[in-house]
Amino acid sequence: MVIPIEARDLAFAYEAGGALDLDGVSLEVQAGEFLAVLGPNGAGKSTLMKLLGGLLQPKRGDVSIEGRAVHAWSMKEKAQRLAMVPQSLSSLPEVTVEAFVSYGRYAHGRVFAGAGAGDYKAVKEALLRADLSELKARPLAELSGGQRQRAMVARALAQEARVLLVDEPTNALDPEHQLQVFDLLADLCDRGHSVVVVTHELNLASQFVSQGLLLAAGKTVASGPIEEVLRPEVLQPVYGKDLVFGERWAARANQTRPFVLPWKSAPEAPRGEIEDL
Amino acid sequence: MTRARTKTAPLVVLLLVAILGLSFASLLHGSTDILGPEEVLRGVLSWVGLDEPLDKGLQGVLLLRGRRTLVALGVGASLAFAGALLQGLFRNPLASPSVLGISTGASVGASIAILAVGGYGLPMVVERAVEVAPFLVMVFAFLGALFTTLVVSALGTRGGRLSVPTLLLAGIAMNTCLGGVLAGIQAFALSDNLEMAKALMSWTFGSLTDHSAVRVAVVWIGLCTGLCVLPFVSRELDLFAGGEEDAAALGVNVGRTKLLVLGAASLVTGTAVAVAGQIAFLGLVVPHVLRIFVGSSHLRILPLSLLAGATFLLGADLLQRLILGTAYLGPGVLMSLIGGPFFLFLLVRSRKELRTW
Repeated sequence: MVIPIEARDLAFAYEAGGALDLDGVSLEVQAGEFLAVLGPNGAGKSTLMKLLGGLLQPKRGDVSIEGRAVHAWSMKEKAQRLAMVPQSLSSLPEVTVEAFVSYGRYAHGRVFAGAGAGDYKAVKEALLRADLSELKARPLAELSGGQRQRAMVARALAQEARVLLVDEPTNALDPEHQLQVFDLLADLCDRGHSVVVVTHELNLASQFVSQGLLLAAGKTVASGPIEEVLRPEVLQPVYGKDLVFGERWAARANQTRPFVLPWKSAPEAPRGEIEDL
Repeated sequence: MTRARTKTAPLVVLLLVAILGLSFASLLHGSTDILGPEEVLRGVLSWVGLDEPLDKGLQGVLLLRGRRTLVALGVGASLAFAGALLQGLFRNPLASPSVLGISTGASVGASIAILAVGGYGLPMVVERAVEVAPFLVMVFAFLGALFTTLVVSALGTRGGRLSVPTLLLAGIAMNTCLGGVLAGIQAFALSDNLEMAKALMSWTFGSLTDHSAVRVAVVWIGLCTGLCVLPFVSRELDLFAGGEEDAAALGVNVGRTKLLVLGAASLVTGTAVAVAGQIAFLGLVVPHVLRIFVGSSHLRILPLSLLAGATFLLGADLLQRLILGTAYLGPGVLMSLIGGPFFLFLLVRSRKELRTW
């Protein structure tokens, strides 16, 4: 079976001749798999995403989508197979939510051809899935941070790509919406999509994600099933000792996966509050 | 979106009617009153073979006025189109051919060509001056425009990311440098050849008074060639609104789009400047006003800017001729008088944004 997206031995440096910002990272995401790329700030997570999306050219190694090198696809062919949800946009388009989501249809369009029935259907469905149908006529600029994030996910859904690269989708979201976004992504995996998400939310990762890739200083620290990556002896060398592992909570909630809470000054951490979460 | 769409159709009709009306008025009005409405109508119909031509002299006068009208329409459409393309690509309402120095670049190119055919070029060029002059001026204006466009956009982008303040500053710097070169060329001509100096000067502030068929051809060939990019950049420019990287992720061929936009903007600016000289601010004002009415989609803005630019320049030219009669100032002067304050208005309005630079 064709592997939706895989990367072998990726290396990249932002400054030519400078130190490598990403070094020897490999990954493979099957259909229906949900991979979380974890790691502290500056670990090279976003760089990895741009390499996977073909927005950067690796110094070494290669990325393939459906078995073919990412740069061998035309821009449109690539966008039909792989959608990216950026952390934020460098400027905000002055359009309605619906028009913004319809941008996802570009890769399916042809020169001289207007939007067809398939396009309208895909946009409508994407709005529905991202719970934005009621906001579709609102200007993008009037949305809250969370709604805007959902609009970006909706745009990627409208793209109808099998692979989704999502960069920190829960930034600036309240817990409820964080859950919603991860729920939506997990749902996509259940429908056979391959999702790669960059996140700092170890808890959400532990609940929703199947595979983990932990980076630090551009190198792979651990990769594999998420419960193997989210272990104290793996995480603590990377994040420092300020992590509290809520095994007690996890046990009480009858969870098989560990519950991890990034927490400052662990010794003084009010355990009781964690339990009340 | 729906609101913007419902406003588009009436606007198109309004602009088309305005263009027809203004064109008719432009044919009717001239330094003499020898043509009445009926003669104008008959003369125009005779062009398309629907009526007997007027007698030779009158038909000739009408032809000259017709060419002038066509030049005004073509130049107005070209400059507004270039402005809309640049504002879309640079995602900033302050971008336009004149602000970024592209018009000045075209002027320098054209001035060099005028010098070359006016006796300062290679003997081969000078000998054939009459045949090659309009062509040479057009090509040099295009090259000057393209050169400036490439320099300004190269200075304004770093690592694929566009910096609007740097871009505008680069435009100012290029405007200053090229303005110096232009003044130098004029000073040189003034000390050496008064006739040529006059030609260069009058041309700097724009002129629509030349009636030659070649000029009509130059501006319309430039415009029609530039228009060929429309199907390949309209949707793409919409997707540029979230940044180049985002556009690339959505499947846009960013490099090709930039090349087409910058090439087309340079071409239409170059030919417009080659024919009518520098007409500032038209490219700035027209797309901006249109955006207020029909939103920011380039599928609407780009075609509408053609119609609105043509209407605006022909209207301004006609108004000036009616008010000032023979004391004609040139379209560049009027555009500066309208466009300058408008530019300041835009600056004041975006002051909040400017403070965060």
